[in-house]
Amino acid sequence: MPDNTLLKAENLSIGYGGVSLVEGVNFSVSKGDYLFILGENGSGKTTLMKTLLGLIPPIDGKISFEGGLKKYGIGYLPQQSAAQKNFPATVSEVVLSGTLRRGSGLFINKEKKKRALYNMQRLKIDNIKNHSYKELSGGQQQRVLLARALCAADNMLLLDEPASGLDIFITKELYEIVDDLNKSGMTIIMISHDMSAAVKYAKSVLHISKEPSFFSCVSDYKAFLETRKGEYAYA
Amino acid sequence: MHEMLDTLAYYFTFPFVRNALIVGVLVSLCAALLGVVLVLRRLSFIGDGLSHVAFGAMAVATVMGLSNNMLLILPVTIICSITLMQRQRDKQVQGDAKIAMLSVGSLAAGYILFNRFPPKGGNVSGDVCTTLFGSTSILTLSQNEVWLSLVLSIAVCLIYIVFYNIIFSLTFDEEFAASQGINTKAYNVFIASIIATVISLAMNLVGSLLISALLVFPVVSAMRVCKSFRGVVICSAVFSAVCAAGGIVISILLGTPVGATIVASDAIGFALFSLIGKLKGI
Amino acid sequence: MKKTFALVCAIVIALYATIVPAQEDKYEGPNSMLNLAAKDYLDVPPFEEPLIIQHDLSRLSSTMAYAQLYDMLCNAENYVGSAVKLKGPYMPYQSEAGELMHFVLVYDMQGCCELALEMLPTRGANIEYPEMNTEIEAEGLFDICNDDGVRFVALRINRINIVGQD
Repeated sequence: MPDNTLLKAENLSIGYGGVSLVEGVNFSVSKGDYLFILGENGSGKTTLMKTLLGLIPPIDGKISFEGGLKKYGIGYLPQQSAAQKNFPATVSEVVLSGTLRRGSGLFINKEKKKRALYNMQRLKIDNIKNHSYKELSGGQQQRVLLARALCAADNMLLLDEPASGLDIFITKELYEIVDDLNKSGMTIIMISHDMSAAVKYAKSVLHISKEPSFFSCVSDYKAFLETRKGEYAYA
Repeated sequence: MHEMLDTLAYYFTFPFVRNALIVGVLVSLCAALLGVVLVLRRLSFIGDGLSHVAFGAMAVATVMGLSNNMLLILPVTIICSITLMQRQRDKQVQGDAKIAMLSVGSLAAGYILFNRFPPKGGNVSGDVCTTLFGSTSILTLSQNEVWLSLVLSIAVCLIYIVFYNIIFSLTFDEEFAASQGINTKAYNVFIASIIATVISLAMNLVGSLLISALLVFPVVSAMRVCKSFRGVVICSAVFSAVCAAGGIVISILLGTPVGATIVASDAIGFALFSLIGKLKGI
Repeated sequence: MKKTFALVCAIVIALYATIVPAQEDKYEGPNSMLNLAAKDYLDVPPFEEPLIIQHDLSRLSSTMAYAQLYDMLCNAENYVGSAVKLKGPYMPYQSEAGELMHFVLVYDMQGCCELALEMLPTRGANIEYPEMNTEIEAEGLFDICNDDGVRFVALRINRINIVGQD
C-alpha cells in the first residue's frame, strides 16, 4: 500500500569503491512488514544492509524514506564483536547510547532516559539495568543491544544475523521477541541465512543473488524454494 | 617520617616543584581519559608508536633550532595519529607492521639526528635520555611550557566532558553510531588529534618511552574494579593523577628519575587494584 | 582534503622555522650585578662571612639539586645576590682564549646529564684548586656577570672546601 510504505529501494546498485556487487535491486517495505533478506555468504546481504543504513553510498539507484521513517532512523542490531563482549559498561549506558542521534544533541536528557527505560522494560531487562554488560549471558546481551536498537528506531528495526553464536533455545526466544515486536507494530528487516526461520516468521522475502534477486511475499518464496529444492539445503 | 614531611614542605616552596605537580597531575589525567578510548579500541600500541614519532619530530625541531619544539611536534604527531587510526580500521594486519616500522624508524632517525647535529652546548646522550625517559624534564619546565600544558590539558578535559556520550558510543560500537548518522569519520579525526596532542605534552612528563604506561595502566587498573564506563573513566583519571603526584613526590625525596618513578607508581597501583578486583570477584 | 592539510602544515612549519632565535645582542649590563662599580667581572671584593645560606643544594636530593640549579641558570635574575652552597665534583676547563675556568658540577640522578656552575674567586682570594673530579663544597654569592658583552652566571667564592678524594 503506497501510503504505508516506509522504505523503497529503486533500481539499487550496491558495492564498494565504485565496483557494484549486486545491481537492479527493487523492493519496498511497508509499515508492520517483516522482511527477511536472505542470501549466501558474499552475496551482498551485508553490503545491502550497510547501504540501507547509510554507512556506504549506493552506486546507483535510489533509496527513499517515507511515512515517518527518516534516513538514519532505522534501529540497527549489529553482530557483536569480541571486544564488545568484554566492554566495561552498564546495561543502562549501552541502551542510552541508542538515544543519541545526529542532531539530537550531545547530552542525555530526561526524555532520552525515559525512552531508554521504556525499551528496557519492554524487553524485560530493566531489572538488570545497573549490571555490568560483560557479565551477562549471550542472550541477555542480545536483548540489551535490541533495546538499544529500539531506542534508535523511528519505526523500523534492522537486525543482522542476530542468532549467530547463540544456542537453539535462546535463538528461539529471540525470534519470539522480535515476532512480538512486529505484532505490536514495529517494522522488521531481518538479515539471515536461516531459511526455516524465514518461512516461519517472514511476511516478505528478499533473496539476494547474482541472478536477479527475488522479492516477494513469503508464500511465493516457499514455492520458489520448492522449485529450487536441489540447490538449497532446505527441505 | 616527620623529617620527610618537613623536607617535603620545604620542597613545595620551590616554584618548579609546584609547576611539576600541577602539570604532572593535569597531563596524566588527560592521558588516562584518552587511554580509555585507546585501550578499549584495542589500539594501545598506537600510543607507543606515536610517542616515538614525537621523539623523532622533536629531534628534527631541535636540529632546526626552532624556538618552540611544539610547533613541529604537534602537527607531525597529529598527522601520524590520524593516519594510524584510520589504517587500523581498514587493514588490520598490514597496519600493525607499518606502525612498528614508523615507530622504530622515528626513534632511530631522531637519535641519529641528535648525534649528527648536537644541539648547541648540549649533551647528546643527556638530551636523548631526558627525552626518552623524562629524567628531570618535568622539573625544568619553562613558564611557556607550563602555560601550554595547562591550557591544553584543561581544553582536553572540557572536550571530553562535552563529547562524553559520543565518545562512549564511538568506542563501544562505531558502526552503530554511524547508523544513527553520527559523523564518525570527523570524530575519529578529532579524537586522533587530541590523543596526539596529549602524547606530545606527556613527553615532557615521563619521556617518550614511558608514555604508553600513562595511557594504559590507569585504564586497565580501573577496569579491574569498576563495571560501568563512567566508573572506569573517573577511576582511571583519579588513579593516574594520584600516581603521577605520588611518583613526583617520591622521586624528589629519594632522588630517583621522575618518569620511571611515576610509571613504577602506576605499576604498583595496578597490582593493588588487581588484588582488590580479585577480592571483589569481578 | 588531507593533502591540503599536509600542505598547510608544511607551510606553517617552514614559516616558523625561519623565525630561528634572533641574533643575540651584546649584553649591555654591568660587569657584576653584585658590585655594580666593578671595573671588570673579576673585580669583586670578598663578601662577609659567615654567610647565611639561602639555597643549599648540598642538602637536596640529586633530582632536586639538578632542578634547582637549572632554575637558577634559566631564571638567574631571581637569584642574584643570594647565598648558595653547592657540593659536587670540581671540573677545570681551558677556554679557547687560554683562560682557565673553574666549575662545580651537579649531576642528575641518572648521571647522564650534568649542569655546571662557574666559580669566580673574589678579589685577592688565593684558591688552591684540587685535582679534577674531586668532590668539593663551595659557598658563595650568585652573580650575573658581563665579559665584554657576553652575559654569564657565576658563583662568587672566597674559598672552597675539599670534601673528598676522587
